[in-house]
Amino acid sequence: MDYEAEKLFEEPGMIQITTWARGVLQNKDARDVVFALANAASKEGKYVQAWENYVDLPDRVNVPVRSYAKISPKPIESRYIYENENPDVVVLTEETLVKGVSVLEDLKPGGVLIVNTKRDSKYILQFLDDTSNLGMLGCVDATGVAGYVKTLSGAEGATDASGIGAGVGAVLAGAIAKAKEIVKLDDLLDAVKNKEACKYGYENVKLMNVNNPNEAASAVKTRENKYGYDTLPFAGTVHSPKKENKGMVTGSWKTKRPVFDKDRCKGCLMCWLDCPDGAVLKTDEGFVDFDLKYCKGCGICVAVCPAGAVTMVPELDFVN
Amino acid sequence: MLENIKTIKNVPDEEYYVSGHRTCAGCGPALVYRLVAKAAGPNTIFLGPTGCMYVANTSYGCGPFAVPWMHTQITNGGAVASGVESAFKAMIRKGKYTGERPHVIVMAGDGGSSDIGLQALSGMLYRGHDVLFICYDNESYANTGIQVSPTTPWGAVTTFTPSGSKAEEGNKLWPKDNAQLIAHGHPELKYLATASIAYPIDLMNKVRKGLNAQGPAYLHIQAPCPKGWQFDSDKTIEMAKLAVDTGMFQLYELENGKYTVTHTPKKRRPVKKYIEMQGRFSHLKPEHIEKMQRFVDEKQKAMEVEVTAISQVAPIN
Amino acid sequence: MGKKRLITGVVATAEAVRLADVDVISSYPIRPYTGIMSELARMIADGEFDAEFVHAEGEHAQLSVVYGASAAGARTFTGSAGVGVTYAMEVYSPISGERLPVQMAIADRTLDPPGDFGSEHTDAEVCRDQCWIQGWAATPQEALDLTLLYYRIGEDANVLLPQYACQDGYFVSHITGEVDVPERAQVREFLPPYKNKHKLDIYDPQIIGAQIEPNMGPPLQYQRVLAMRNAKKVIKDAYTDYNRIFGRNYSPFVEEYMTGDADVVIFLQGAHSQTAIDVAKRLRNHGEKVGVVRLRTYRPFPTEEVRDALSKFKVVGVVDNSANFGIAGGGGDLLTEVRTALYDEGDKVKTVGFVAGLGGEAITRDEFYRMFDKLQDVAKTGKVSQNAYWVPFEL
Repeated sequence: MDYEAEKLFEEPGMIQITTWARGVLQNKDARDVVFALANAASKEGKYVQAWENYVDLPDRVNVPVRSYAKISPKPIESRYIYENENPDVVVLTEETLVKGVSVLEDLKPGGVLIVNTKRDSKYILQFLDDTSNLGMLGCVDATGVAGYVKTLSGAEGATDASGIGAGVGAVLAGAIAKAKEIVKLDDLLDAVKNKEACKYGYENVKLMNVNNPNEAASAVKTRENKYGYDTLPFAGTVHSPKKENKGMVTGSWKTKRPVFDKDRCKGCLMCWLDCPDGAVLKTDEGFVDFDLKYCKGCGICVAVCPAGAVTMVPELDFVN
Repeated sequence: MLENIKTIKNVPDEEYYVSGHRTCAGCGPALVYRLVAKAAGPNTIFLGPTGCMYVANTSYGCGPFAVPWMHTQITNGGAVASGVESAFKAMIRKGKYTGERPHVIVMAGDGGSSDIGLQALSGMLYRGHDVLFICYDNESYANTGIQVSPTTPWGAVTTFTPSGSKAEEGNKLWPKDNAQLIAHGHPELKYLATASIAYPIDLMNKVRKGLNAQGPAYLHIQAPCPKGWQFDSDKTIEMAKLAVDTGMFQLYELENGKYTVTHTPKKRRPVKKYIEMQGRFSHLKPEHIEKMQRFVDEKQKAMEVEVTAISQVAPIN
Repeated sequence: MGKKRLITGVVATAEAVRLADVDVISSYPIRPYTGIMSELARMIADGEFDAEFVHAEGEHAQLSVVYGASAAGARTFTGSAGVGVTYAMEVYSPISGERLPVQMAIADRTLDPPGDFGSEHTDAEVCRDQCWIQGWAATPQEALDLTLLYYRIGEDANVLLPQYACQDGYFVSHITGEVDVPERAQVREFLPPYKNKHKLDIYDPQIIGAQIEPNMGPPLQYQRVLAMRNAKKVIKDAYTDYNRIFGRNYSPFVEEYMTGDADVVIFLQGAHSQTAIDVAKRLRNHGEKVGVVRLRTYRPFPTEEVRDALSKFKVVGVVDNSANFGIAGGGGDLLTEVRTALYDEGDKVKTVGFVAGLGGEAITRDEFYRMFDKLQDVAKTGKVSQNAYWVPFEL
């Protein structure tokens, strides 16, 4: 047989929505975005799937996590794979995810990015890595009108006791509906709890055209085998690291970064001792230095500093 | 013999739990690991039963341990450690290994210590293996998304103990006191202590005392969990301090059959202060909080008595 | 040669463990394997050899102890039977997956209910997919030999897999047989010291068993597949060496008895093969053209060798001494595996299953006689009217 897998397994008309969020704090809202759209589309007679990325779980506070929806006019055949292969729409529940996280990976040419932010679109754009496929950027201040729903309910595939779309998720769902024709607004409003928030997102998202990619949408990604049985270390065993575990660099987790005022520092070293990530280093003079490569922005250093020598500043205030 | 650390200036610089792990921002157990590894030093073998400190630390086939580390099942941390320790004993005696005898430390969660892993812990203590068994207690099965464990406080919400019309308080069971459970009845137990990340130097010294003991030692370390207890990630240390200040967690050690309380708060704060800071208790009504206060008062009374026989906190109904 | 002694399977196994200079042993009592551990405890207490003898709190703990000890670089030994084997189930895959060549003796036993001590291969067969080397000893001599062979095979650098050294409970474990107990020097020639660079070593720190994502799953599993494949060659070489050094005459995979011009043969593993051979001899005296093929290595299942051995015959009766409820073909596990091996032979070879000796009942010579008789019927008519017969109810 001589078929091109990509063409053979095309699913035309299928829309893939990928929502990125910060673990534990916002993953519920990420779920809300995909479930709201999927439920609305299902009411309209479409075939749908909505789920959380399994490999991102268990979610940890601040770690980037993903939720997915697939909406199709025909029954979905690519139903048992781990991720959306080519998202049409990418949504960020929190703005710092544009920095250091490959949110636009495998975006379909002409794809849409929606970001929850107060900042200017151009400012946001500078942080994204490869924007060649990005067709449109939408910015909406969801946090200004709704909160994040923090709950354990609904994790691991169980029912969301708090319902769908009570907070930021509803706003972002509305924004998507405006940016791309997927579902009718009325059907989406029926699917969410906080209809005001959803309407707000629809009416207030600022859309900006970015690129105009010419390629037709490509579909199926063939699996690359990252590891061969002979390149994978024996039994998966690895040598212990000496100074840092480069396989898990966590600097992109932070939404706020610690800013150090050396003049106030008393050299008590509590921040150094109490950092769970070892991201505060001792200097020879007996003071400290902050290693942003691994810092997750938890803020413990600020909490334990007796001298007010550390403050947390939004990470996106810094261009590098 | 590992030396007592006097002040923060004497804390060694070297890290044996290095940066780069997929633990929550503000993770209490991660800080426990860092402090324990620092205190233990390079001649250490860690055994990691399944749990947060396994999955979060070694996600994607790599890890932050600068010393030898091996995964065990959640069921058998104590048994695997017994095997490692026995192997070195035999190999050294038979001349098959001529290096330093390493410290063997098990880092188990509350499930792997008080529940599914309890049997293996007890077997290890009974046989007298020279192993330090540490329970990092975040008061739930956290890695699987926060489910009730035997150390989950009464009245806490987890996904297996949600609050609802038929279960107002959430968790209806009073927790096991694993340290007390194993403290009495294991004749070979050489050293036992509770510790908290709120008192990191005390924690490290207890680790060293446990390692110096020639025989089995047990440390029960409370490790607040921002995800499970539902508080902001910068409050981890504050939460640990409050646990001690309210009496919800007590700091003591048991050595040569004698108990020593290693820290008493100057004034014991009402448990309400602790409860209102955590989302897992946000459903509790005043009558529930009163019950918790009585439970803590009883625990405190028991701790103030010289304990040489089996102590038991009466269940409160 | 060493000295010949009249000893039971459990003593023979213990002798081999002593000769192999095992470092860590984990014990827990359950019939009928307990005697191995009692014997080892006695040897250690009397100073006959030196090992750490750990009284585990249960079978799951036994396996966990040797998992840790082997990872630290020690040669290890443990054992169990019946529900003890199934209780430890959780730990088998971690052990083989971490490539730790521990050895577990299984003096087999029926699974509960209801606590019957009798011998069945069921308990050990339940573990067949865990990627451990596995095979049955049919006599006390073989019990000793299998122990030494399996350390050599499992610890080979191209294999590094744990082993289940099985023996029929009671029939082998408790009945004496003549055993040539080798000299230490012979064992040293055959079995090198255990070396593994994959271990817990403060001078070469490694992280063993880190959590992987699904994309690392296939290559990790495939490594074990290759180890099992490598094992075949290593098994062959080990048996060749063993035969030479110790004066035995074993075939590593299958052994044939009176098969030269046989029309029908019985295929089976374990102690009951000896009874089958004696019955075949008797029938031969009366001119019946019958034979026996005995399976020596169960995992890795020697598919090609079984096919080559059995494709010569018109009818093969496969005797299973295990309860594999609901299995394809309605017989036992060996029947299904033999049929897979004979797939290419199509209809040329007829196979019939017999499930016998369940609950530890002896398989009597009369039962084997009736099995051979049934096979001759099939040979005459060319028809298999029933896939498998549960002995004695259906035969």
